[in-house]
Amino acid sequence: MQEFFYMDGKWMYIWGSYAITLAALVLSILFANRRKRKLIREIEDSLEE
Amino acid sequence: MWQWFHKLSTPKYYYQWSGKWLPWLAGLTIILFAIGLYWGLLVAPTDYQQGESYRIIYIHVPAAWMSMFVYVVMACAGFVALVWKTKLSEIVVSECAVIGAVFTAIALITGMLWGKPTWGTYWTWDARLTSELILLFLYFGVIAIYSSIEDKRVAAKAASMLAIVGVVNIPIIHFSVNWWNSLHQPNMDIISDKPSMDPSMLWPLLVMAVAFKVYFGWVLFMRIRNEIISRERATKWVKELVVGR
Amino acid sequence: MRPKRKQRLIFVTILLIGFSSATALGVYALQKNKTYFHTPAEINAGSVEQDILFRVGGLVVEGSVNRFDDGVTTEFDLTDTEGTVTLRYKGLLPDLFREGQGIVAQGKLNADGIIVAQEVLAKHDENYMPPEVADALKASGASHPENIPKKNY
Repeated sequence: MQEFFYMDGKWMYIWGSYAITLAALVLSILFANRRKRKLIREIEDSLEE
Repeated sequence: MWQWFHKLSTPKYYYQWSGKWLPWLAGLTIILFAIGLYWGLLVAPTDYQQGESYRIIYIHVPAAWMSMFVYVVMACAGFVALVWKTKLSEIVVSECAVIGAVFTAIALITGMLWGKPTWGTYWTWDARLTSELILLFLYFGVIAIYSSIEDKRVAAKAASMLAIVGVVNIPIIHFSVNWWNSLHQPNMDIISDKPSMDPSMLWPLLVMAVAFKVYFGWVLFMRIRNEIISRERATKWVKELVVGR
Repeated sequence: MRPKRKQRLIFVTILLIGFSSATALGVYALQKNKTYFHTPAEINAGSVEQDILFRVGGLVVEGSVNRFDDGVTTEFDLTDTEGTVTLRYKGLLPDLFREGQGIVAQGKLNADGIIVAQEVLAKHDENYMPPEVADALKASGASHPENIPKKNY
């Protein structure tokens, strides 16, 4: 297990690449979700007025 | 067929149609990523030459493929936007630009993190690296034009033109390694019966490539839907949609 | 023109200037790399003068790698099968650096005719396989298709 995380000494490059990629992909989805909630709230507010 | 396309290009119909696909795209993305990551990181063997560093290929190559694929999608949508002026295609141009820029940035950053342990440098002004960087600037250009012109219809027109002109960069990226014989490795052969990658390593790469494609569909649908609601917020169907939730 | 619109126009103009200069810079860098690239055979024939920065590419000659006692300096020969030059490099070599590997180096020729390298980069090909497969391939006598960095790097 330790060997897997150590990646023959290249863990910084390998895990760095994977971390940045997954963070970018997950954040893109979260941003889109947040924007949708915000838009719906805005339209709801405009309807109440 | 044409009629269906025509119907799909109306925002309201597209919104309803894409909504049915979202959970499937989301589920498939997660499953494919789980399989691809497990296979690529834990099952695939070590490379005879590069050791463990080569495992960056499982995200670098799919991201690089997507950076070019999304650009072609964006340019096609730009063409439709200029010729038929459908609202939906204009939205596709702007949303593809953002997603494509993310894929390009991922390809560049993971490439740098791969270059350091293998080549010995993060960056070199090699043809492949330079043309991929230009691709990132092209995406930025489309985003900037879109956001800097107030009238969204006019903005879409200008952005589409840049997107179409920039297509020349795509074959340059692909063939750069042949034309300039760069420090970057040549293109892999993955379709012949004697591929340049051992099958035990190639399969997880193909799974990851499909995972990235499905993910693109997922995030593109989400973003288009948001943009539709935003632009059509004054229409009756959007108001009904919000109330009926 | 309304001030806001003017501001946007300036923004787009700056962006376009930035974009075109970045492209020009990239193309210029490529051309420069091309100009300064020499093969070992050309250097043997006297294509480069002393103390001028240039690039050289070739394969590391088997058995030529000589690590100095200081632990950081390495001397090795580079060949393109037509000519051979000697390189000296002080610093950490990339992991892929090994005998028979294709490399690209940047440096200057000194008075003794040795290239003092400032940068040594390893080139790898598009073949990926597990070590066992590579060993089997070698045992069966199939030569490994290593490509020598060409003139137009």
